[in-house]
Amino acid sequence: MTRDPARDHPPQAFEPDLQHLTAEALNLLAEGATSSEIAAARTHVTSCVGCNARLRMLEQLMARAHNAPRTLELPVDIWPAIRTQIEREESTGPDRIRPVPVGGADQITKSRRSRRPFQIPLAAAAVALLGVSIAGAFVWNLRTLPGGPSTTVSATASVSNAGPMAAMPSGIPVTDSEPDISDIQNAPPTSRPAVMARVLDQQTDQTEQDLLAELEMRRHDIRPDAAAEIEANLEVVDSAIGELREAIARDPNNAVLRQLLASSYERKAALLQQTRNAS
Amino acid sequence: MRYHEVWLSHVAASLVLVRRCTLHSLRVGVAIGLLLPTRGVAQQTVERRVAVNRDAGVKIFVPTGSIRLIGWDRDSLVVTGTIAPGQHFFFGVAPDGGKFGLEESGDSLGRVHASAATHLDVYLPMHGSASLKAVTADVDATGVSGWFYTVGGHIRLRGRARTVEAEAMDGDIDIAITAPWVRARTGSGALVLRGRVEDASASSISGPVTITAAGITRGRFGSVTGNVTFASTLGAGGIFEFDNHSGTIDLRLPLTATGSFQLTTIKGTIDNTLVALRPASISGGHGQALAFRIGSGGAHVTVRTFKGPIKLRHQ
Repeated sequence: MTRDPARDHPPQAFEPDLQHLTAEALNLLAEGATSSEIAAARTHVTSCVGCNARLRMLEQLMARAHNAPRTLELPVDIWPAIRTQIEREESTGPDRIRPVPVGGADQITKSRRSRRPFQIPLAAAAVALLGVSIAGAFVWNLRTLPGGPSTTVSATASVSNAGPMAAMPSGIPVTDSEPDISDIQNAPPTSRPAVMARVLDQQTDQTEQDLLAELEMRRHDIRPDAAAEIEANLEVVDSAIGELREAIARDPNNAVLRQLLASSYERKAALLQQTRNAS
Repeated sequence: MRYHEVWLSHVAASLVLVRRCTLHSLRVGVAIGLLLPTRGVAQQTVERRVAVNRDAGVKIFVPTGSIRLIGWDRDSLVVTGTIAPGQHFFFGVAPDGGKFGLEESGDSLGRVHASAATHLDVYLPMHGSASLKAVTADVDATGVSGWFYTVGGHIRLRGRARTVEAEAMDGDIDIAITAPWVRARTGSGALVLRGRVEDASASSISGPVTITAAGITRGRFGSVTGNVTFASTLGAGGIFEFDNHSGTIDLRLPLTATGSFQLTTIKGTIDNTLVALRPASISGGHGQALAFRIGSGGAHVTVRTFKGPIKLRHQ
C-alpha cells in the first residue's frame, strides 16, 4: 500500500515570503503526491512561472536519477589500505608534530604518490563511492536542503571535498556533448573522475542559468537598493569564478582549485536565492 | 435722506463683516489644509496580545525601522510598538502561529515616510520560532529560534536558541548565542559569530567573517573576498573548513590545539608561527602549502584560498 508522504508530514507549502513554494512542497508535487494538503501548492504552480520552472527541473532530475545505475563496482578492494592507514594514525604519539603530504599541492602529491601506493586505492574508493552516491545525491540533496536549485551546487561542493580530483589523470578527452551519469559508468576507471567533474560542471552551469533566469524574472519586484547590492555582490563572485576558471584551465588536475570553484558557485547560488527574499 | 445714509452704512458694515468672515474662513481653511497632511504623518501605536501554543511559529514582516524579539517562558504572543505613517499593521495569529507585520501603503497623500520611528517589541514563546523578513529594519532578538533576513539592516542575536539562520545583504550580523546549529550569511556586511555553537556555518561575499564562538565541532567558514578570522578552540574530533578567494584567513589557536591541518594557498603565502614547519611551494612557486599534525586525535582543519594569505598563530 502506497503511503502519501504529505499525509504523514504535512508540508509547509510556502516560503517565508509567502509567494513561492518550499522545496518540500515542490518535492511532494514532483513525486506525484495528491493529498489535499498540497492542493494549494498544485494550484499555485499553474500560475507561478518560477515555481513551475523549479518543478519541471525537479521532475527532470528525478527522472534522470531514476534511470541512473543503482550500483557501481569498486575497482579494487580498498579496505586493507584504509585499515592500514587507520592503524598508522592510531599509533601516532600524542606530542609529536608531524608534517604530512600536502593534498592539492601537485608537486608534492605527485612525488609522494609513488612511495605511498595506498593513496591510489583511497582515491579510487572515493571515486567509486562518489559514483554510487551521485545518483542519490541529485535527489537526496534536493529533498533535504532548502531551495531546490542550490542543491546541485552543494553536491558539487561535497564531491569536491571528497578529494578524488587530486588523482585525476591528465589528457582526458573533452567532447562537446553534454555528459550524464551513464557516461561515468561507461568511462574507463582512470577517466571517471574527469567525467564526473564534467557531469557536475554541467549540472552547476544549469543551476546557475536557472537561478539567473529567476533573478531576471524577479528583478522588477526587487527594491532598487537591494538590486544594486545583489549586482555588486554578483560582480565580486563572478570575478572570483572567472579567475578560478582560468586557473583550472591552466591546471585542470588541481583539486584545491576545483574545491574553491565549487565554494564560489555555492556562494553565488546562495546569493541568487536571496533575491527571493529581497523581492 | 438720513434713513438712506443709515441704510448704506449698515450695508457697508455688513459687507466688511462678510469680507472679514470670508478671509477668516479662508485662513482657517488653509490652516486645516495644512494640518491634514500633518495628521497623516502622525505615528500610530499598536498592541496585540494573544494566547498561542508553546511551539507556535510566527512569520513577521517589518520592512523598515527596528524590531526587538524576546523569547519568554509564557504561552502568549505580545506585540507592542509604534509604526510610522504610511505603514499598515496586519495581524493574523492563531494558537499554532500565524503572521503579522507592516505593509507600506503610503499615507493620505500616498507617501511612505522615513520610518526610523517604527519600532516593534515582540514577546513570543521561547520554544516557538520566528521567520522574520526585513528590508532596512534592524533586528534584535534574544532567546528566539528561527530565520532572520534583512537586506540592509543589522541583525543582532543573543541568548539561547535551538537553530538560527540569519542572512543579510549589506547589513551586519552579530550573533552571540548558545545554540546547537547556526547558519549565517552576509554580502558586504560584517559577520561576527560568538557564544557557544556546535555546528556552525558562516560566510560572506566581501564582508569580514569573525568567529570566536566556543564549542564548535563542525564549522565551515568562508568568504569570497572578505577576511576570515577564527579565534577559538577546536573541538575534539571536529571538522573545520575555511576557504576564500582573496581575503586573509587568520587562525588564532590555543596552545593546547591538537589535530591535523592542511593549508593551501594557490597564489598567496602562509605565515605560520604555530609550529616549527615551513610551508612548501606549489604550482611553480606561486603558492604555498602546509600539512601537519599536532598530537593525536583532535580536529581536522582544512584551509584553502586562491590568492589570500593564511596566518596560523597562537592566541
